[in-house]
Amino acid sequence: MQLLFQIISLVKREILLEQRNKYAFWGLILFVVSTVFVAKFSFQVIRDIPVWNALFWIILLFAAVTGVARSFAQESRGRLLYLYTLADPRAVLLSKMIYNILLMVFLGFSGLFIFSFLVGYPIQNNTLFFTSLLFGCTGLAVAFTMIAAIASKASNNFSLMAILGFPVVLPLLLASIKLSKYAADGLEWSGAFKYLGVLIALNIVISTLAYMLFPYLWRD
Amino acid sequence: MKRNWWKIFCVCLLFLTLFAGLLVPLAPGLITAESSAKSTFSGPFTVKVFGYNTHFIDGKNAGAYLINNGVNVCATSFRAIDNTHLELDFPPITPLAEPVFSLSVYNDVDGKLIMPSAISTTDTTRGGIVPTCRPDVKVEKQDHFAFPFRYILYESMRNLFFHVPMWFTMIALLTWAFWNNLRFLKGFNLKYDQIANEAVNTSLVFGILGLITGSLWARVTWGAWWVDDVKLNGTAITMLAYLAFTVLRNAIPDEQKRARVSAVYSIFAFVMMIVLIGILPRLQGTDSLHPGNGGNPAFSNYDLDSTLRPFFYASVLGWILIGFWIYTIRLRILKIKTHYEK
Repeated sequence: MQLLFQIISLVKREILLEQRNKYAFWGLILFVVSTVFVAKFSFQVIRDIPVWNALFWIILLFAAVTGVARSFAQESRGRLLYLYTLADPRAVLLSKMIYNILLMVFLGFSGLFIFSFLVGYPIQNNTLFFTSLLFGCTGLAVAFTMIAAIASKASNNFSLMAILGFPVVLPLLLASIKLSKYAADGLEWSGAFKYLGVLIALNIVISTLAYMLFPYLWRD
Repeated sequence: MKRNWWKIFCVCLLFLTLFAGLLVPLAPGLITAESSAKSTFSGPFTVKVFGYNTHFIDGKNAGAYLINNGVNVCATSFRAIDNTHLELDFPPITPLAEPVFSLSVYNDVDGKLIMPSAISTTDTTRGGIVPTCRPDVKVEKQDHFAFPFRYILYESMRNLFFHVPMWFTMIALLTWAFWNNLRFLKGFNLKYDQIANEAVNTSLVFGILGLITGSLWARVTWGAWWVDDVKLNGTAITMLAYLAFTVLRNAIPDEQKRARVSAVYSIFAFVMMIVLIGILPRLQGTDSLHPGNGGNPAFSNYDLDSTLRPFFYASVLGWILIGFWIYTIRLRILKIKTHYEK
């Protein structure tokens, strides 16, 4: 119960921090917009569903790396230590995870809006696509939060984040792309269930692992 | 000696793998059959046969026949050019149902060889008069010891003793590393970190060897150095994750911190590897070319017959043992190094 209260107040703190320097948040949105523009100018209109799909998820992947990498790197060592003594270290991790999930889901849907506005929207089964987007973004956020915690322990943070993160999120990304492909082809839910199952299971596995392993990680 | 018996065992197993795996001959088989006429009905035709490890001249009581829907048509003449080349004459035949014939060639030495769907015909008429016969096969199977003859694989089948055990060894070493990561996190004893680190480094060597042998095999059997296959992608990504692990280790100078952070990442990577290699290929099994996936028969069915099986198991055990041997040597070097640095 105490953990829950700690998490809630820590999430509030994250949102407050974000409000205080809005430029980081809008910078992220701008990052997505400019990547979409690059895609737009290199492809014009994409009619090929796999290409559309792959491009969209790659943009989200890079947005996740840039967006989530900040979560541990932006805090000074002293402030993190202060947080760890004030609250359960796991609460710090979980609050960052929840905040990153909110951020990634927002980025995912706004990215989808911009992307479909400029490049086209070939999806037929909307609910399936939105579900896959929701769980895909959640998974990316959860996995990259953990990777960010690992990478923040080493110098040379950003490139390490990509090196460490990409192999780990690949199963997640593959499942999401597969689901989006089902949604784009307008297939029914029955065929998609196993990938949806994998996606949700991966979310659970990654967050459980992160929750279990973080106590070993935070101490300097 | 008592402690090192497994090393001797390992050397014996690998010698067995190398010698038996490379020297045991492949069973005879028919590689190509070419018919002189497109139609089998318009007149007598000649079939040129190219065999592998066959004894067309040396074998006695030789003969050949075509099979269509269970009906046999014997060759009217059997001309062996040399031990691997053969010309057969057949009377005109109308196919019974399918326009495809299987070819069977037999003699004393090779036994009965069958080539499924050897020749096809352009005939559209079915039925009619078929000159059937009852071939007089003296020896059904050849009796000396040989690996089975399989289409597409041929001699590259021997790679089974080198390619597959590499992955077994890699996974065994990674599992050992995973176990030691857990042990490290339990008591923060740096000994286990060294063990895990060297196990991962050794496993990467085996992973690279597995990729090379697999790539060669893919070129021979599937026609490309790299194909888009779930298992290939899965293992490549696993290798990337563990290469990232080595980069991470080099990025953190402090010993304790490095050990903790890399143990956490390694556990993460191992779980993802299980998902990538163990779970995802089973879901999209229809698009893997590997045996056991997508309708391809698994090793346990007929690919791995009784002649291959003992050598395969010996090679797997031998390679895993040499993997752990290399790892113990690397670990000892690391221990000596750290000892002198202090």
